[in-house]
Amino acid sequence: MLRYIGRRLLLTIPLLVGISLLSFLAIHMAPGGPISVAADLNPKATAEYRERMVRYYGLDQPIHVQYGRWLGRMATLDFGESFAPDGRQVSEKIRERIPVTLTINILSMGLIFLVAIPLGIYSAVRKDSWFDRISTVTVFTGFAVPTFWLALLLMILFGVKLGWLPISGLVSLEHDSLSLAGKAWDRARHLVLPVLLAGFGGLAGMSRYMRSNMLEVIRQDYIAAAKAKGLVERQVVFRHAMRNALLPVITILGLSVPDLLGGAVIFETIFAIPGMGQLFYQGVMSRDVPLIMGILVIGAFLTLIGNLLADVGYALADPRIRAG
Amino acid sequence: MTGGSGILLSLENIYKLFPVKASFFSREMLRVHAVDGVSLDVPAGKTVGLVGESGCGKTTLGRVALRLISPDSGTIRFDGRDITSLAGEEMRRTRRMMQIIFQDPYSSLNPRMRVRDIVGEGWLVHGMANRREIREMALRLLLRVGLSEDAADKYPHEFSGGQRQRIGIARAIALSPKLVVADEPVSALDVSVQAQILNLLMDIQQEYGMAYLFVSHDLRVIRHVSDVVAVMYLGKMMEVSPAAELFCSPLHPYTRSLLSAVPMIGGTPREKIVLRGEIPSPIAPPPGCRFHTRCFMAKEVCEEVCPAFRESAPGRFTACHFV
Repeated sequence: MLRYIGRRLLLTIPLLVGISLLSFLAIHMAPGGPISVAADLNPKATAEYRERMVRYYGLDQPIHVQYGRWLGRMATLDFGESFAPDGRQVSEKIRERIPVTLTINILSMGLIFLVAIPLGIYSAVRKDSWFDRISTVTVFTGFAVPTFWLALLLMILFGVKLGWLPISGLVSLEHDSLSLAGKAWDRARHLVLPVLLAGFGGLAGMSRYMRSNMLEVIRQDYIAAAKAKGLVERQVVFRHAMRNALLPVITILGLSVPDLLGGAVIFETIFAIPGMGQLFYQGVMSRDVPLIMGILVIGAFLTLIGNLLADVGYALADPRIRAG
Repeated sequence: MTGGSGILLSLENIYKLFPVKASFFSREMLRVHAVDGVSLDVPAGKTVGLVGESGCGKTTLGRVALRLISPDSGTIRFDGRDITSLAGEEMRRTRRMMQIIFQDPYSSLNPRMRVRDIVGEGWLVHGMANRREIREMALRLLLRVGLSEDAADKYPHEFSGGQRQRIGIARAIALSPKLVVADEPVSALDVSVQAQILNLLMDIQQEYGMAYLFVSHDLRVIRHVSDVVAVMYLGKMMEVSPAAELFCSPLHPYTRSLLSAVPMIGGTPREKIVLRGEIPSPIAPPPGCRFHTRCFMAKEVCEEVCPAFRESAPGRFTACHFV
């Protein structure tokens, strides 16, 4: 098992190089350049100033040389300096923002599991019941609704009309003057809508996935055998059916990492949350190549690690793979 | 028709329809007539072979007998007791007495349980043993069905189809049931393995004295194991006779055509009855006798009147106007 993990980790290196190459090319094909904000849109910028900027950032070099330099720095885990006016280290910028994004994603993942799995199991066990039909319609409606639109509606409802929840940021303006409990409560209130929306799409998908897994397992003969042994329905469902139906969910977990990071770009921008998603959005808008590349590489790395963890988790949970 | 011993399981006039949607857009529900007014007795300690083409309702009848499927109407009597609408604790206690062996040895064992737990779970559920005793008891049972001792701690995927079927048999007999429904227990196995499993089933019956309701489409298998044979066609019972008599002088025209299709080496050549056409759809079964569309003896009356299931010779029951 350890050798397997080691081999998989080594394999991530060529994958990361490939991903970064594609990303690098994609950024350079996009219209506008990294210095267009500072130079092109600035009426006072002279041709001389622009040339200095271009040379400073090495943009006068052919693209393969630029990529080679970037890759060489990456080999020493140096993400470079941001092109933004503050000129800070990319790694530093990402480091201060990643905890926010991870917190929201982990919370929404927890929400997905707590709601979607019982929902899917109950829908499958009571297939075609009213509960199943209503949850099916609700889930598909939810699936079809664009998250950003739903986010705006919820902001209007809870933030403006009812005034129950704050609509942006992570903390209130008076956060520093609050007591410890007050601070926690303040943060929690700010997290409700983002977590709900981050988990919304996954909720719909996961509950359907769980339902179809359960239906597949329930029609197996060993479920009938368990019933024939004299187990009560609860034991049949939880001891025999659920444990088998949960297995494939592990894989979905690993695959959902890029979705969560992609989703973060949208909801962090809508809710003005200072996380990695918002940073990425700003980076793209200002063609901040080192920043974009840095976030993409970290995102790709997290995705690959997620997949690896899923495979390892699957192997640990399923005796058929464990032995083989 | 039992030859003296008592009746263990008695199915009376069982009906079971399955609703199917005609198409995605229609609200109209069609019904598959899986079991359509069937009666059958299984004597204690004997084997009743239930034979018929695929889709004739024999598997459904087997599951109804165990109350794994509830019948739409009809009565299930087990050990002299009406269990048709037993529920909860009482039904669970009754389940101990009736077990099932499945056709597909791959979907019948929970892939995430060790063999000893698969075999022993029933003991736990019924409070017949504690966790420590289970391993011991499971070992003994696995040896009895012809597996080695180390099988207990393995998972199902580590076994071949025949070995898996032995595990399924061990699971079924673990609770010392009085009735075992064997649903095509050898159909998925190689012929050489089939014989081993059949012999194991028969040895175990000798030892434990349980009754089998043995469902199969294979007449050679049925002949090998059965005391009484029941022949189904499209959800209806066609003939129930003692095995020896049925195989040597089949009464019902359907039984006769079935037997004429069994290849045999040696012996006197028999009449060959080739059935016309296909088996009709169980969604819209033909009126009158179910078999009349393909029967070589069919007359006008068969198209209109469904023949009663009656004793047409001593100890032999048929549903045909002309037998």
